[in-house]
Amino acid sequence: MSKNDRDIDILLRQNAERQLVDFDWEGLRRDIGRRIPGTGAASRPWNQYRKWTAVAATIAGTAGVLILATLSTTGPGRIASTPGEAKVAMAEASHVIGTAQVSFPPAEKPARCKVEILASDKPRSRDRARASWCIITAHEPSRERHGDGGDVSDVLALF
Amino acid sequence: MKDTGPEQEEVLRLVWASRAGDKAAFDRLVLLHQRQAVGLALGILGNRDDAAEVVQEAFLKAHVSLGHLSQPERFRFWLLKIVANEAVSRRRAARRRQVIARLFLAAQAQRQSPGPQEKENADELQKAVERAMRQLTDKEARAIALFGLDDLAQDEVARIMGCSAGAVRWHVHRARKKLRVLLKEHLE
Repeated sequence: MSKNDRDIDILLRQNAERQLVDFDWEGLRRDIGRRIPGTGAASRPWNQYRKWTAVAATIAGTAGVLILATLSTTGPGRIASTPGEAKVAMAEASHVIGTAQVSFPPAEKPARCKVEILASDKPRSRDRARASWCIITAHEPSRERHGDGGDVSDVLALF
Repeated sequence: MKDTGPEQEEVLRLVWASRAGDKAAFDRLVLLHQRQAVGLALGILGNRDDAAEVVQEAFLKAHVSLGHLSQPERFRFWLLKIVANEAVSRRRAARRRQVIARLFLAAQAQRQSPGPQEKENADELQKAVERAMRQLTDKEARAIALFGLDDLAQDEVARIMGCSAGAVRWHVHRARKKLRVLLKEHLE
């Protein structure tokens, strides 16, 4: 190191030392301490991302609620989950793709029709029976018409 | 290179305790590192009041980010990096303010009545150093301030600055060269 360089370093050091002679170290620590939260002070990494965590949780929660709502209103198993109260119930169990007999409430006026069972991608197992999507695409003349004579051929039943 | 200072073991313990929310442990960390932190900030800024504010911010940032510190044994260097970054940010902000309102600030500075601290700020050498440091680039100021810290090896300075040791030497060389001209009166 040249003398010039050394002189510069000494000058800078002198300047720093002179300024720090009566520096309020206690005050600095006090100020820092005052601004640090009292308990559980040191944050975990996730604290840095708590905003995004909250957003992600909200999105996931909303999606979950929507999925549950959709399943509870339209998903497979709804009718089968409350046997006896189902709007459409299988009169005779059938797991064969093709036709099956179904009945329609009210129970005192059972209706029967021939339906075509279309396979779902993932048959559900419920009460030891495999349930499939059952889409009524055709019907035979029923013993009694459903309700006020409404046609049942367009009913989508999920077992 | 690892920090092999005598208090290394204690620092490690304090970092872990601070992470667990021990405020007293963090206060102890501040106590152990405050001189070096202020020295660095002062070296970059040339003004102890600004340096104190910068160090305060740096410690608070360090506290918030302690959980991110993957190598607690390198706490000192990690902290110094934060201090240097904060100080450089302040330099830039000051520079922007100067450009925007140089005349206004000059007039304001003249109006301020000197208090006890301002009397010390009136020291000619300090003012000259402060002015001179502002003439350096961020890298030059950072390099020469880190170089000025007693127990910091050249490769540590390089790691803190995120460049090679050769680049550090170059920045220090440039800084000294500029300062020699800018502080000529005080060197004689």
